[in-house]
Amino acid sequence: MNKKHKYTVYLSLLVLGSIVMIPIFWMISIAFRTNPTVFSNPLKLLPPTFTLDAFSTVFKNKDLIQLFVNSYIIALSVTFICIIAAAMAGYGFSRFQFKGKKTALIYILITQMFPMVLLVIPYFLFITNVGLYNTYYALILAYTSFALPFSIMMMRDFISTIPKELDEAAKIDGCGPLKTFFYIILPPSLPGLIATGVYTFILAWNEFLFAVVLTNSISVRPLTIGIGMLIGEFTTEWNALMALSFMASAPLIIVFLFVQKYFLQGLTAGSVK
Amino acid sequence: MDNKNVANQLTEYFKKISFILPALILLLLLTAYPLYQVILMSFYDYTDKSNPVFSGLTNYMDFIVDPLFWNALKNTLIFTIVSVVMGLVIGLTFALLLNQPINTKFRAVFRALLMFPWLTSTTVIAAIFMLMLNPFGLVNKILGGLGFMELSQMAWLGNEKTALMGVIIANIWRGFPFMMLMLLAGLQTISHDLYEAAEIDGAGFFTKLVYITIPQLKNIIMTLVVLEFIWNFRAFDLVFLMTGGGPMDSTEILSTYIYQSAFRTLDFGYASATSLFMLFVMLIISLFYIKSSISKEGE
Repeated sequence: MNKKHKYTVYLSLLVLGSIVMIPIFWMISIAFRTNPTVFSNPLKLLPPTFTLDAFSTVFKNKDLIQLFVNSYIIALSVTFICIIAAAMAGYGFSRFQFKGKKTALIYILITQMFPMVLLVIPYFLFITNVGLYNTYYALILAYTSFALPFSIMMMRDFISTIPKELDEAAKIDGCGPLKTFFYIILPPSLPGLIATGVYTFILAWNEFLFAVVLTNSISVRPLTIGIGMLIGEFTTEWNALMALSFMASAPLIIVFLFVQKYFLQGLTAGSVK
Repeated sequence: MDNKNVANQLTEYFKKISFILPALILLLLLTAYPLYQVILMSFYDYTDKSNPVFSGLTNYMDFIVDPLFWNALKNTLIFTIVSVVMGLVIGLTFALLLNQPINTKFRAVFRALLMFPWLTSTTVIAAIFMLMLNPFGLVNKILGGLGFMELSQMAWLGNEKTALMGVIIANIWRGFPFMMLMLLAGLQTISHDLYEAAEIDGAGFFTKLVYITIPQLKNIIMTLVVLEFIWNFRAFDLVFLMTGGGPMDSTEILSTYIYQSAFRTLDFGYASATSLFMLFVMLIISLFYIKSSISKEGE
């Protein structure tokens, strides 16, 4: 590849990449300024006066902190359930032949297509009837049902890439399916498990519709609702809203940066053949 | 003897399915039962909430003649198709650029940075784009600076001609990184020999793109198109938060329309019937995806 071509690639990436990053840049730039300078005229790309006011506004608000806690509890629970259930199901689907397997797979794929608004009505009625309205359980159950189908398919695809000879060797050594699962399948599945975990956590952390419908108090509502409520206010404190948005996005981005290598492996194991 | 055999077979069968049982039971409970309930509700009239009456196909007839339903369907299709096509174009552009023999560190950093929109929650995205598209916001400041005085006065999300476009732009921004990632993974599996052979024959960039790259990526592109179609067709948060379906229903999509009928007018029957129509459309679109996912079983 010649030099000129190389420079064109770098230049295009930098220009196009910068355009794409504008919204993120703007969120950060607004989060660190005072509210009166949000719409400053003429335009100031960087905060005219750098301040942490917006963050202290957020931290002073105990409700917002509670929303963070709620989001962590809900998202981590969903992630935990999905990783276990999907790893087991992925192993089952990739290694065993049984009657009804195809039907089960088709059903799982179809559940991926359910419109959220279709599920939200019966969920609302069901959750209210069993007395789980406005509890963590309501959201944990709902999010599990969204995340599980894709997680299962991801784990199935990933485990399928692990050579079957390993299982057979384990079988000869007298390992049952459970032992094989724990000692042979799980260790090399780490990238798949991480990909599933990240996917699930993001999904649960970011969900909005079910949180609106199935909960009504600050004690269980997740962060997305807090942001949604701030958006809905008549006079918006944009700097506080951006500071909160920044704080809501940071955990996902940090986790992603640490595990991205595994995440890519896990996500693309089955789809790229 | 026979009984024992049957029992043995059952134990064998149970052993085989035991690993998928937890997930399957969870899913059946969380999706099959609600689906059954929605189907049932779609045949009932909820005018009297405490005492719904069986009404046959009335709910289905109602939405088919409702112009608001057709408006929502039209907006949903525009929203979905533009988002998928533009996401694919942008995603492929970045994937092709990142697949060039550039510094590996630079590539890794860039790929991670470009994933940020996908990691950002739709609520946050809604907030950021509402701020940027605000009449006094960044977009208008830039337009004013470039000399487009008239355009720089626009309330993009408050105008029925531009609101849908504003929401779609936010949605494309949210959606392209996932496509970029999958396409990049696909590009890395294409053999260099193919390109070298083409270069010997004097093929330029676009010839190689059309005759080698895209055909080689066919499967991934098809899967992405179907998945993204489904995900965008049922989208809700962005529209609900940014415009709430307005102004003048210009951004009303099926999800927000159904939400309104279920939780504002409390017409569960009508909402159920309409959402079943949505499911039906998505199932038709996804037949290909289901087929290809299942065919891997044959290996």
